[in-house]
Amino acid sequence: MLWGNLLWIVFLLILQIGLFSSLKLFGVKPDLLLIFVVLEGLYRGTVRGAQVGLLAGFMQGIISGRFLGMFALAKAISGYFAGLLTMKFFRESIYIPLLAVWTATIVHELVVWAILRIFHPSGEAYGFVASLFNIILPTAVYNTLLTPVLYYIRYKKVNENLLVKED
Amino acid sequence: MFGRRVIYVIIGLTIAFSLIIGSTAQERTETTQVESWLMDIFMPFQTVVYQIGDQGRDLFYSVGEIGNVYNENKRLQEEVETLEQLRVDVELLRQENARLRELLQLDTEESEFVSAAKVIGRNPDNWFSEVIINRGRVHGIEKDMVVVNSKGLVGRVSKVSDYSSTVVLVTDPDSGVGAKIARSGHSGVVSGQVEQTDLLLMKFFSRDADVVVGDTVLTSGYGSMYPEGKLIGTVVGRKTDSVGLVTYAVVKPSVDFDRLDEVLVLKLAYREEEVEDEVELEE
Repeated sequence: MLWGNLLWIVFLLILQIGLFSSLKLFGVKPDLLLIFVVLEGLYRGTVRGAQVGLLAGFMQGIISGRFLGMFALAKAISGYFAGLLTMKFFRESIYIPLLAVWTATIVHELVVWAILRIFHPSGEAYGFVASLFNIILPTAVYNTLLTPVLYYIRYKKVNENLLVKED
Repeated sequence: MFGRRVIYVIIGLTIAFSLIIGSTAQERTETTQVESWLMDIFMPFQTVVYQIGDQGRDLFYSVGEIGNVYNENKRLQEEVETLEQLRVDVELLRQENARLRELLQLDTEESEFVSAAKVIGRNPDNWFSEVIINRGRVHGIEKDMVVVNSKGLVGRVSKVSDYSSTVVLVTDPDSGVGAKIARSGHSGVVSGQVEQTDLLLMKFFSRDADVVVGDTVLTSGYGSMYPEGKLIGTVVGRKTDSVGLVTYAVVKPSVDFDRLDEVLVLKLAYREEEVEDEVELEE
């Protein structure tokens, strides 16, 4: 199963680097891998969410080679967090993945921001207010807007099967 | 909600990650072989996706620009007339330059670049500004080589694999380019910022730097990584920090970083200097 996820990660990463990184909305790029990780956590549980997040984050980190592990940590936390949401809410509604991606994006970006503030040689360049309004919130909006696409392609079926099993 | 085991795992992971992130926070001089392979495996797919995306991207951006087309057309026509005159002047100067060179018996200028390259991707996140180019170690690219295009300075190579490289753009908060104001010669350091991601911030070494809106910003050649005299952009604003100790200029880059296609990778600037130093020592 993890191999299937690896293929999805590679596919989404190529799509992200080659295409979506250039399609800026509100001045930011979306994070396709994060949407994938959150949905994986939401429908397959905390552990799977964290595992996929770790893998996706490391693959992403290799592209720039700086701060190796930063995105892995942030995405693992986000995936785990999305899994926790499942315990609190019913999965039937389409609003749940939207809410999960919105919240998880903010968590993800806050983790990245905190790491940059601590470890980046020019860390003071990442002011909190500027980061929040220019990067974190716009990215959350963009990711939320793209969530239905991935949901209908991959998770609608998964969700329906889960609901049948639970019945 | 959290079991004791989960808490141990979280603490363990946090320590492990802090070590990995901390040790790779500064740019490394060498790229590991595994990273290099992974980068190169992605490359062909990425190139195809980027090329397909090129057209979609142009459409995406052009929708918002329809209103400006008429005015821009008018402005461009005026510019064409001016340029026509300039072309004649340049031709005259070129002839004069050739004559003088012959007179001084100078060799024809040595090519200053290693390779032309195509942009095949961008970094996936919003925190850094990087592009990936389709030239790597086998094409003679090395870390810290400077990248330009016809509009001016683009950035520098931060990571090299066999068939592709990562370039840190001037708009990255970590770019730190030695720069000067062309008119007054006052110098400082230019880097990207989070407040306005499409503008650069130039921090001056002197508090009362002579800078006004409209000034041209060039690379200063200090710090030896970037060669002197490459165009960075134009000053669009000036500010001082809250204490009033540091003067900043807000700079609009001359390069359109949203539409970056072809770039030139220059030879290492400091290597030439090192060779010159060695020659002097021998003498």
